Amino acid sequence: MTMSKGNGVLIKLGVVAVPILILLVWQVSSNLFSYLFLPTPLKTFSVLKAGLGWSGWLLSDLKDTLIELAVGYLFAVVLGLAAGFVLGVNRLLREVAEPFVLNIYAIPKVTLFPIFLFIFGLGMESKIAFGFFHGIFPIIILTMGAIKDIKNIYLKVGRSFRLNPLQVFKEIVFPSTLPSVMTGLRLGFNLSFIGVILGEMAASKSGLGYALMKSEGAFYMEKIICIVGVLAVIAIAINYLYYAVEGRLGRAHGRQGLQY
Amino acid sequence: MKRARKITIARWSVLVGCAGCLEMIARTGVIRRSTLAPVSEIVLTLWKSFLPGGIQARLLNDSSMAANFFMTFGEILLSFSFAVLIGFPVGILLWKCKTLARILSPYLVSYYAIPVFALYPIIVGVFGIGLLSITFMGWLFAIVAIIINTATGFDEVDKRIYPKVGKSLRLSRWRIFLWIYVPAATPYIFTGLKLGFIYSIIGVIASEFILSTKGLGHLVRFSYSAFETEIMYASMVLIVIMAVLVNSVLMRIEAWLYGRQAK
Repeated sequence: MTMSKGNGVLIKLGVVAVPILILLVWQVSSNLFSYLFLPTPLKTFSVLKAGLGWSGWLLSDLKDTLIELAVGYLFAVVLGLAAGFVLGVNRLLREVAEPFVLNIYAIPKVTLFPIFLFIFGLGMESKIAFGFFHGIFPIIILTMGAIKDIKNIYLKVGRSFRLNPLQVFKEIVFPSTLPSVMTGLRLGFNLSFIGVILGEMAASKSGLGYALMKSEGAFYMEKIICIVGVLAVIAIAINYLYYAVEGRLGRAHGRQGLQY
Repeated sequence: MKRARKITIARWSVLVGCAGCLEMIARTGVIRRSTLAPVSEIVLTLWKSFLPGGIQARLLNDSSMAANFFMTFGEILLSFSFAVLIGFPVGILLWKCKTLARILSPYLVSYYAIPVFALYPIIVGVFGIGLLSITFMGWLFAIVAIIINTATGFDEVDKRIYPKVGKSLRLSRWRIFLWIYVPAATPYIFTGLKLGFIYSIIGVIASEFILSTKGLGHLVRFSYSAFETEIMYASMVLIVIMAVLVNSVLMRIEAWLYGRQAK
């Protein structure tokens, strides 16, 4: 896409202007509309600083959330890739399982949370399992699709070179499925994150979601905004990491990178 | 055709087999009744709960399962309608105004990465507990999918040929938009609507589950804490059936739209 230089500068300015605009609106509305009980940005930042400082109020909950997220997501990645691979290779299994997988992906899984509480209790285990349950489906769906869509001609070339199964996987399956699989892993991460936070908000004894609901009960708006901010920063940072990899893979394979 | 029928039979056997296993486990008492109700009783409870006066009034404070269902469905429809009403024009605006689209693109990209439900306590702080907060949450979760898919859909329309056809037919700009761009972008836009509707369902029910006083999501949460296991499972089943029905119908329409355009 060609663009004049002036336009490019305008866009960069605009991108920077959005958060400044939000801060401004926040400042103004916290001053004007007292009935919203909105704290000023400055006050919120001081609460955030206290929370992230030495033995701050945020740290132990942040640690628990990150542990739950990491373990749940790890399980989702390993089992999701394995299941996606099996379903991608085996046509019969795929055709039987596909509607189940697609529909479970679309239902509001939060209503099933009591079942996780029955099985795993109120502790971190239920949040780990819930994060896993949210994250695994996009990974299965995209891995399955990627394996299914490997062009037959690649496999024929492999056969004519007499590649052994390991070589077929390394030279053909892995590179041609990687872009899709990366997208699946990113979406899986996002949903695992939502699962963990929802679980903590619904019933928990620790974690950022729990801290959110506790602050809600105490009407501690500064803390609520801080927690939302921390969650957003974590999510965006990890996603940009994935986007960087996806973009590079997309270019390497001569495909257009994701626009959104 | 024979294969397709076999697959369908296999799918239903998996479903019935799972239900049968759960029924057996619950009936033999391997898992306590307070944890797992037999499937047959869940279905019976669900059926009875829709009859007038069929469900314990003390649990639902004189509103039936049906009332909670319509409450939830109403919130979903309301949040989805507002998401379309605002998301669609904003999507067109982003398509028409490339500078704005490029400014907002990093924020739109990150939107679904953030656990949006974390905003719910702020929204409750502003609007209070109730219909307004829940509908707003559903709207917030749905709108960005509609914006993104509308903008992308119009963007993907072939700009070299389609508008020229319109011009050679001497159509006005409005008619080129309505008769050429909208039909060409329909599959994409529909994908946005499908995602938007599913996200509305998820947003509304999750909000009800976390903090509310009415609706199906609340009913699951409340009957869980009240040890009313059968009613809890019955409302879960109702939510799952609703979501699966909506999802299947929307997926069918979507497949039909894409298939029609491919021809």
